Amino acid sequence: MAALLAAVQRPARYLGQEINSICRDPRQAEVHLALAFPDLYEVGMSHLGLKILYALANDLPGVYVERVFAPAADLEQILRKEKIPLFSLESRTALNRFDLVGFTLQYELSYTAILLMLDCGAIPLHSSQREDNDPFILGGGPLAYNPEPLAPFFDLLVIGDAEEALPELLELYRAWKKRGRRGRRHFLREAALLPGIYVPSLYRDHYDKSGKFAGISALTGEAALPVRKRVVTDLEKAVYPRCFIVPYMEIVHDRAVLELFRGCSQGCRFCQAGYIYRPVRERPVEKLREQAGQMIAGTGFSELSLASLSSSDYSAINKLVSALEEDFAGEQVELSLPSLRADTHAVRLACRLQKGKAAGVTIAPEAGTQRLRDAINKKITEDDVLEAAAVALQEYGSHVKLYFMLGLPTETLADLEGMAELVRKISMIGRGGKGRKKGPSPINVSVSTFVPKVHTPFQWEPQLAVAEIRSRLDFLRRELRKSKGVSFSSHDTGMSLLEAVLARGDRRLAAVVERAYQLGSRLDAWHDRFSLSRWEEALSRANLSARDYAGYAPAHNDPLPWDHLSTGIDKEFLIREHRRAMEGTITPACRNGICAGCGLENCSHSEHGRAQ
Amino acid sequence: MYRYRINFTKEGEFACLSHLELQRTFIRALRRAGVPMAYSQGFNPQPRISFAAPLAVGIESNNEYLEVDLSASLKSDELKRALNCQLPPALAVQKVQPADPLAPALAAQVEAALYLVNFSSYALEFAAAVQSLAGATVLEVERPGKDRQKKVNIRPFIYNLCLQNVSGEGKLFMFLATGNRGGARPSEIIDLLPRQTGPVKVRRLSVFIPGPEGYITPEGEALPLFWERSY
Repeated sequence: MAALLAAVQRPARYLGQEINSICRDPRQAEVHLALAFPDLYEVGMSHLGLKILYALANDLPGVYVERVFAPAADLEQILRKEKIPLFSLESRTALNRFDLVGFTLQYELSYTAILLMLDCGAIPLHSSQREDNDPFILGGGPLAYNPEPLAPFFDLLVIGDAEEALPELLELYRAWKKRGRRGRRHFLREAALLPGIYVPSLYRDHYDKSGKFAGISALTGEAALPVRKRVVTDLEKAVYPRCFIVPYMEIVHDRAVLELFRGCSQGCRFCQAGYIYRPVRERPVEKLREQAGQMIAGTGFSELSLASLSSSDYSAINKLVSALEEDFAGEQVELSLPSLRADTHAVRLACRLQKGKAAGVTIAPEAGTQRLRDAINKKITEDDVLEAAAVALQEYGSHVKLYFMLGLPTETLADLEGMAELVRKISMIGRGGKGRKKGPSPINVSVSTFVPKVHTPFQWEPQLAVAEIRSRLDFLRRELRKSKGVSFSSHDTGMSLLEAVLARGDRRLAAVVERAYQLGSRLDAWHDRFSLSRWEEALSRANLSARDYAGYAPAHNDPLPWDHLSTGIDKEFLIREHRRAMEGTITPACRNGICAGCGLENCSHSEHGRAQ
Repeated sequence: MYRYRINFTKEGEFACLSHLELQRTFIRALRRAGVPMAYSQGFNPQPRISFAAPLAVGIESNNEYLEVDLSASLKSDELKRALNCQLPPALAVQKVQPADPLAPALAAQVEAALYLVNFSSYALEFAAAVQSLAGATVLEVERPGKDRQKKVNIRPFIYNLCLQNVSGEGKLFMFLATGNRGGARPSEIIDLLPRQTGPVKVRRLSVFIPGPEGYITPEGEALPLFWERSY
């Protein structure tokens, strides 16, 4: 191992032995689970879900959970050359010696890294090739709501919150192992009976003569249609790690994190998280305060992030921030608010917490005109954005980062001009601000490309063709150059295309993912490793085209490859929201007793709504 | 303000931690230990901690030193115990001593370091190679510069080399200049020797500061005696 650590870049990625990591003898474990994040250590270790499940499952009797991350190119080469299987960080157990390996599905560009890890871990890539002594491969996370492009590689997927589903599954596994660990298919059929567990091999996909998706059917009685997501209703009682593992190397989000609430009720129509994580469930202030104290004392982190999908929507945000400021007075703990709505109060709070540091605030108008913001249901006005930016620039001399999305449904040239105009107005505030010295540009414009996501009202919308995206980006770049002090960055169009292909893909894409992996694709989210041409080759060998998937615009009554997986939201509601988008009508956030009627059960807002 | 000098080891696999990673590890260990750290002034207050001499990645060490400023005084033994509870055994604190906060930092005083290189075999041509290094007047190595590689003569930074045959294994002691006024890296010298087939392990035995009668360790100990039999 010492020789291996000496031979790679950034060896702390593979060292393990961090403070708060859990080391036990794996031979004593009745159920040995690997939590796998299909990216490098510094990315995977920044992910909150992994930390929650690590704490949760390690607390279950007889269960031992370890972490494993994707190998970088240099380690991959050594593993292959020396015929060493990919190993876990804690006990350095080969991946194929685990009982189960659970992957989190966070972004489409991590798919090939799953195959990389299975391959390097000496586990057969296909569920159908695995035998009784191979681990079960499970998946979960937001992209499990359409795992079809990965269907043949996974034995099981957890749909929705894993806090309750995972312990049930592990308990079932323990019983199966005790009975002699024989008959994988039998175990899978039993597991399929658990709510929220999807076993892809128990379903078959169908296409019509023209190659159009025609639906999915269950092959056995155990396979539910649809599989409904699991929801942790009481977040107050849900497990949260007392302490995070403290990494030796610098990771992407190198800080303590509190999860203020799960879900978001704003209902921005492009945002998948806003639909799949419903309903909103808050943690109470006192609980968060207790968690914050334990976390800082147990990790030594000097930053605490108050995370959620829209942190300023937390109902007691002021009370929480004051309480935490009081708790950490004199302790050099910086609080940060990562996801803000554009309102002056939230921006003032965020700027105050930064205490004059150059981190700056991020405002996400998403679209350049009120018409388009209404269409996507982003309920902020130009005045909101301008006032929020003025607070950051003038009152705090802070930097402002603006997020926009290009190619949203119904976008026209006027919307792009509006975007440039809004940026110009903000850049004028900056220069008008008193006491601002000339220096680095205070405004950073970041533009991503619209990717239609499943289970949103825009799942029926196509992504623009790449040439059109490029020409719109060029137009924006030219327009923004007219404003001084504005820097512009945009998401790679090739990556956005691939995201769109995989996000709404069907099972036929599995052969493409596998082929792309064989052609050398791994860690596609890294610019230095990404190659669209490999993917194009893989698609063409399967007689499929990227455009057919990315530009797919199904009718509302067409069957969709992810229809058999349910977020609990009525498809009728999504259709209604899609129509309202086309009309440019907003739908209010489902809080304060207002219910948009999404059909979700066990939602306090819907009960409220029904009572009215 | 109270300054403490902390003497610790860097053993085994933990040799792979970079200087930056080691700094972060100690800062967080001190914070977890609940030690009252002093912070720098300004917008971005930083803990006042300084390491005597950065150690290259891959090198183990018997004796590393750092100095940290605290806002309250603590018993040295308490600080040692509290830190060892928060550190992996490979980064064990061996000794904590109060230091003068007005004296120059140890980092500014360190001028040399003693390394021990273990070669898995001892060969006669190896001894000849060490001797010829010691006899050379100029030894040029390439170092990455801002734009391109630059040539540096490291001979003046090699104070002494001593090769021993210990039951068939080669042990090379290297006393090298290090610190602000330039130095040689162990890997630069190893690269000038015949290529090894087996593993080469490098360990820093201690850093040295100038004393009244030659170099001494921060603890005040002189160089070991074997030095008299060197090249």
